[in-house]
Amino acid sequence: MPEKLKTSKARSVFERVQSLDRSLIQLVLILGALSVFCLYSIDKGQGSTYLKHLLRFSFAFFILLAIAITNIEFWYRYSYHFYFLNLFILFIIKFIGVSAKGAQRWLDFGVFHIQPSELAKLSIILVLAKFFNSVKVENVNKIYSLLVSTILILIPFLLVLKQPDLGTAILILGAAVGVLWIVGINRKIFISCVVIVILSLPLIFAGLKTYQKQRVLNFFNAEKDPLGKNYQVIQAKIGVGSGGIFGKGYMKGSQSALNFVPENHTDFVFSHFAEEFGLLGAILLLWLFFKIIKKITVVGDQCHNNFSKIFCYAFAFNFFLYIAINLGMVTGLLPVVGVPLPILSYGGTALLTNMMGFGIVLSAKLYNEHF
Amino acid sequence: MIKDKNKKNNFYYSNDSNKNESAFSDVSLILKNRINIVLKSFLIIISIILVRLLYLGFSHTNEINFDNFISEKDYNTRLNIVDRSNLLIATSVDVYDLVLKVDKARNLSELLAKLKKEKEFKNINVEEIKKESLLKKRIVLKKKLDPEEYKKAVLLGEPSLELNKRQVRIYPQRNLFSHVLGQIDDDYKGISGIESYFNSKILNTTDPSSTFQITLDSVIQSQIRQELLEAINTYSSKGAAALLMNVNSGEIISLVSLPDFDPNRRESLNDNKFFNKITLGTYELGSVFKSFVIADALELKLVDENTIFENLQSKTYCGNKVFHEHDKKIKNLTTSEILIKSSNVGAMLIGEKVNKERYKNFLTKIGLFDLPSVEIPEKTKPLNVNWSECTLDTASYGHGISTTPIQLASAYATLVNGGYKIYPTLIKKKNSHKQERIISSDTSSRMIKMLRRVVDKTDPAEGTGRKADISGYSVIGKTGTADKPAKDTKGYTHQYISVFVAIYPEEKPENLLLIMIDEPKSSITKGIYRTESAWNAVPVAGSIIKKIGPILAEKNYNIAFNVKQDK
Repeated sequence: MPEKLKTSKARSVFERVQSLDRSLIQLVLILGALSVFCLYSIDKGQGSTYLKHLLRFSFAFFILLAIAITNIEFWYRYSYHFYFLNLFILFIIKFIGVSAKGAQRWLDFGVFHIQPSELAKLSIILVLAKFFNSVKVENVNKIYSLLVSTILILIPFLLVLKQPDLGTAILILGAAVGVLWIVGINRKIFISCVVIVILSLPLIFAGLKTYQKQRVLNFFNAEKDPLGKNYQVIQAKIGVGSGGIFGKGYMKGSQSALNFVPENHTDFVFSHFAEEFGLLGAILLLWLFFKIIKKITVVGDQCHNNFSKIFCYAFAFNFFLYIAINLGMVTGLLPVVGVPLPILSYGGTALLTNMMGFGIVLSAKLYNEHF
Repeated sequence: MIKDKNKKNNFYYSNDSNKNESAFSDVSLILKNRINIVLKSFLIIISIILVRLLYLGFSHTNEINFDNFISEKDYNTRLNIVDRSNLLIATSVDVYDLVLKVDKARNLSELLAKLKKEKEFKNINVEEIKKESLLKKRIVLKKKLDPEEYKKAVLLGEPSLELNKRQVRIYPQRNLFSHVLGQIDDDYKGISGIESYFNSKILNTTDPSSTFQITLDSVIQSQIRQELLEAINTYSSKGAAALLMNVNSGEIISLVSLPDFDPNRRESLNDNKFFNKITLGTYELGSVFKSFVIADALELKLVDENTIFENLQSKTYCGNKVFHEHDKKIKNLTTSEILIKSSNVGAMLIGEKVNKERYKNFLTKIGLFDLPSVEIPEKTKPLNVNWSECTLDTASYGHGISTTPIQLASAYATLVNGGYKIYPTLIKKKNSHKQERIISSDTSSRMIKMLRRVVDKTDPAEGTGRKADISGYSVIGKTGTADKPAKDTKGYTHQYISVFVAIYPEEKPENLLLIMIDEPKSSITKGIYRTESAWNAVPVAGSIIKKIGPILAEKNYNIAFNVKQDK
């Protein structure tokens, strides 16, 4: 094995890039291209949003490649460091963060605004993967492992919730619960947790911010205040509904292009997509997402070590969570919680974390034999 | 610490021991099972979302719902007003104002710049709006959007822009009903005419599809208005007015006062064109009062039609005041002839027979000094007359005593309808039946006969109303010409008010037409040699009756009114 390790390290960067999983990279590139086209159409070819996105995507893709050709052992070794660094940033952001739209979520790096809460989704998966990698299978349901994992989850969750960013906090929790599910925590525990959450819902609701309460209330009472808080959702639903089977055609969507759908660059990009490309386009897009998730789980299946396995599965679950919540939100099935559609939505950090995740998955495959 | 544990328990070093090997495959299996469940649930969620997409596609939310942009702040409705044949004379249409909701605008400058770029809104004053935005929450950017502007405003899709729906009152016939309908203010409240008098009935009723009906007839109203306009032109007069009323029910079929105004325009109400001559003007109306003194004398049985008054002088005196007769000859006249020839001195003699108190009571009883009952706020109660020494003399022939034309008309209706008091109205009454008797039906029918002779062309007495004797209608009536009192000094000017009350048919009077011409002039080139009523108001009434007679006959309003005829 040490010999194998040497030979892999001896391989040049070019060789390593060449031997990456082509189909996953293709799928990611297709999504990236779609997102650039979509943003171009939303602005009717004016403005520079799509160029910015293209630039960011290229940058993120470069990061993806860099991570992919780095041995996954790096992430295994440093996952705790990464996790605590992330917690630290989340903590200090309270004091030096840039406020955007009422929440302190951003860290200004000059060119890039980074949302540490987005990175937390990745770090929680990594740290849990490492933790459960170290736990024997028969000890998974022991109090000790449950307690440690709960603490690991709750700290970033509460920090993000405090920012306040409900959407990201829910996704962090979702990603973490996904890991717990995948590593085989007893179903009874999950069921009792769900019961506890449902029972404590009134308490949770009381603790929400006013605008968060509004959103939840609006979800249950959509058309009552059409120009108010729920305006986004109604218009997005109209956008989705007006596409028909084949859509209105590229650059022809009126709901989104005419600014009916606010935030259509970011969280509501799907409504624009569905309006222009119709039901058929939406099905193709969902199929594409499914292919990606399937691909990641296949990589997970092939992995020889549990850290990689858990990471791949958990990342696939996280990816799935993003899509489900975003689409649920856009189609009016869920309240608006501010979850972007992976890769397709305009926005820096979410793109970056997802691409990093893909990078780690690719690395898991590349270094399957050399960890 | 953790690291050491990791080394020991790490699953990864799969070739360390058999035990670990089996553990790994165990874990692997669990992982595989669990991730399969995730994949399956993803498929389920995808199908749910696809079903949702299909649902959204088929549901009706796929149209742009313009209503989302429309607010109905201050939205008031007013009922449509229709004439007696259900012709629309006042209606409301929805208009939209573009309103900026300041607190919803994310970036005001950007938004205003965007608006200004559109050619429909290029006139907005950005600086002014920015200043206003500091003080107000809602700013009206543009009022009454036209369809192009409306469409553009909606397509802008700005949540901070709102289309405020409100109603605007439209009077399709413009000036035709101006004095009756009146106007409304910016708050959509009636401020004059019917709109004001019935404001609470017309505004925001529970049934917006119902209409508010008044008794006017558009066709007749427009015919009469047209004739009056021509009359103003012919006699170079300052104005003119007309009233057409049913003598039994008091329902007003036409009310015209010229000059008039366009209620669609909002102007200051101080202009004299807003003055309703029929209900708000009080005038000394002259010889038309002679009918009252004679009717009173007949009622009191002091005289009859043929009582002869001998040696009537051309001048009489009351103290040191001198009263002149038009006709300078000394003559003998019967009561009828006094009315037909409109003899002032003769009327004075009858007045003296009646005496001051009784005559005063009669005029009061017949309603000449009442506040008109007509349902508009622009009306007045004539000033109390100070009955001095000579008032009886002058009042006998209609001077020194004033009333509103509408009350004059209702008093004449009483004279000819069998003697009942009527109350002029603009609203159809279901069962208007006559109650209060003022004079006996005998006096009434005698008056009708005498008044017929005023108009009858064939009568040897040559009455003053001959030019209104339209064959087939047997018109009855009485003329009146009065000097206008001077405004600043005592005495009278040489300007006249000329009035003619025409009623037909003689056999069973129904329609009363009052014509009043304000300061008519003679015009020799047009064949008009004099300024008395007989030369202007009478021929105008004649040509109006000629025009509206057939229309009224066809509509037969007397039956439609459901008036209970008193025997």
